[in-house]
Amino acid sequence: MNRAVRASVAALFIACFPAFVSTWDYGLGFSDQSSMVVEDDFNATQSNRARAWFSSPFPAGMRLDLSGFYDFRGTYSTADTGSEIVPLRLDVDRLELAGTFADLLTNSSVLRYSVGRADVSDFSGRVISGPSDGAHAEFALGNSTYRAWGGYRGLLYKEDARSFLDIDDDSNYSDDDEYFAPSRAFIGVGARFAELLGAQDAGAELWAQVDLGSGSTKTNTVYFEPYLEGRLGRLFRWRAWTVAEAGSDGDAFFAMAAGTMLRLSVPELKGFRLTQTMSWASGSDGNFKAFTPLRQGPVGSASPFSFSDILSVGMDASFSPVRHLSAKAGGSALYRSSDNPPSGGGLRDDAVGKFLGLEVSSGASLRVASDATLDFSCGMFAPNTSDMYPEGTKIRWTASLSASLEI
Amino acid sequence: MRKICLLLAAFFMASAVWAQQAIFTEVSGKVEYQTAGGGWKPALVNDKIGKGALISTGFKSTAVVMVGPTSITLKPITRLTLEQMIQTEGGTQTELYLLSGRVKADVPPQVGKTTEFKVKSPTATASVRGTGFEFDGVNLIVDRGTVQLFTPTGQFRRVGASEFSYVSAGGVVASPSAVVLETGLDRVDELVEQSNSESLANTTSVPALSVPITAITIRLQ
Repeated sequence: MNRAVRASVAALFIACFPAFVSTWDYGLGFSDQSSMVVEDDFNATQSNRARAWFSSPFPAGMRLDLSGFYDFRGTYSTADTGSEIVPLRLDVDRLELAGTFADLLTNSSVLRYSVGRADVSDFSGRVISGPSDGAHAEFALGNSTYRAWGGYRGLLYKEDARSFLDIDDDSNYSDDDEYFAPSRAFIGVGARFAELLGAQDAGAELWAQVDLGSGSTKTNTVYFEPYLEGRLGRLFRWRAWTVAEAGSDGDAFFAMAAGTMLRLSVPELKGFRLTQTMSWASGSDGNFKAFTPLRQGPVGSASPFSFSDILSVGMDASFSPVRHLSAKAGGSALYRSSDNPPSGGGLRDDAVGKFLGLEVSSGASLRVASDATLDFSCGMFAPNTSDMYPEGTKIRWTASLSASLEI
Repeated sequence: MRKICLLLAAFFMASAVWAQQAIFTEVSGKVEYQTAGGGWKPALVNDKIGKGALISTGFKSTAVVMVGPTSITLKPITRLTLEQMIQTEGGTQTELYLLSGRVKADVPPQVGKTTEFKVKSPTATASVRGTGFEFDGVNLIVDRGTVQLFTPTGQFRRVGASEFSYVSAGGVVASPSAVVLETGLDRVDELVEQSNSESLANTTSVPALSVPITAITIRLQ
């Protein structure tokens, strides 16, 4: 009897398995990145990643997406800090269960939700970006979309979280024994109105972050981010946003950030695009404090600055000379917002003025096959040695080559 | 009494509705059609078909069908039913049901008349007047005129001439991007990729689901 049951179960499994597997979607991805930075010292980094992903429908109209990776990174440096090898790291970059409720309030509304680990970003990507653990809901009604987020960032790898809100976060980041990011929770709400006026969209988001850590400082922050974006005719696009940050680290503080972008796209000219950008983050100066987002990102590709106490005005151009190949080049002028040293450091004691230097970068991307790409980029940051950096400060050179393959 | 009769006659003439026929003007490769209740026949140039006819194109096969002034190009591996073809004094009304494949439609404006043209599919409806476009139920590229691309939730974007837009798997209309028309929707993956890199809007904020897109409508601006 037992054998008969087993045989029946096996037969059922064999009969049903192909149909079940046919609804799965899965694959592997491999990427390799070699990069170097040459300034006073030579620094090279080699990073390899193998990623597996899986996606499947779930009961009740839901969907499960899961991906994890093995990561290796080794750095070689001629500086005193020496070389470093980060051991193989296994982590989950996505574990998300998502679903939809249609016709919730009216027959033209839909509520989408997801829980788990997934990418979260504010409109500009300057307050929060990258993976987070939590929940997300989006309600679409007519031409408006309302969104809400809630999550916790303390289970992320600290390099992914890039949380630098206070001195406790800095200590956490520099502690080699610490793997996880500082314990911080966040919530966010937002509304977006598509084509509110002609081809122009408008929206606003409100984000709040709570320090759950047990460090010496409790830093809680709130961000309000209104934005506009749209099209001007067929060829021009633009966007403008601003972030007002208010917070408390024992004392109340206030900070701001803003950005604009104007882009000309002419697809008839080999996909030519010319983009002008401006982004600004306040520094500690007068009534303002340095802008401190949930996740700190870089400014530009060759300069050493992060998005705090900085003004960047830049322009870049890109085009596609042949199918599957695109090339770009650009430059930006960088200024500090306050009279304090910017995040890159290295200013001379009698530094005056605001102009930090000029960044120039270029790159190319080649799609070798539908699932294989090669990217190369290089750049330089020429510091302002006339009145900001010590004479003899070297130009900072960067280069990066990466390859990725999806199976 | 005579005046009343004349007025009534004029009224009925003005509101007269009569069925149109579609004519094959170009046929390339294996193209067949099936009339209501009939068997499959190979399509020939100048063949006329009526309401309810099902047209099928094979691999590397195309057909051009004219319904009044409207030109409908059936791309390879397409199955299409002519659901409605009506002509009135006020204009024409055409409804097609796209079972699979892709169509390109050229709907020229008619002075003083309205031309209603719809392409329905199991998941979408394209509705347009006085424009030219290519549509596969999700992706839209506009040759001329301006079209509104609608999602079931009522979100829309105006898509102008030489622009491309699509409805993401999350059910959001991507901000239209300028494109070249050379390849139409043949390289739709590249168009989507270009749109994603060009677009400033977040088109997919919640992961893709198979459920949301139940009807996409495009309308003339």
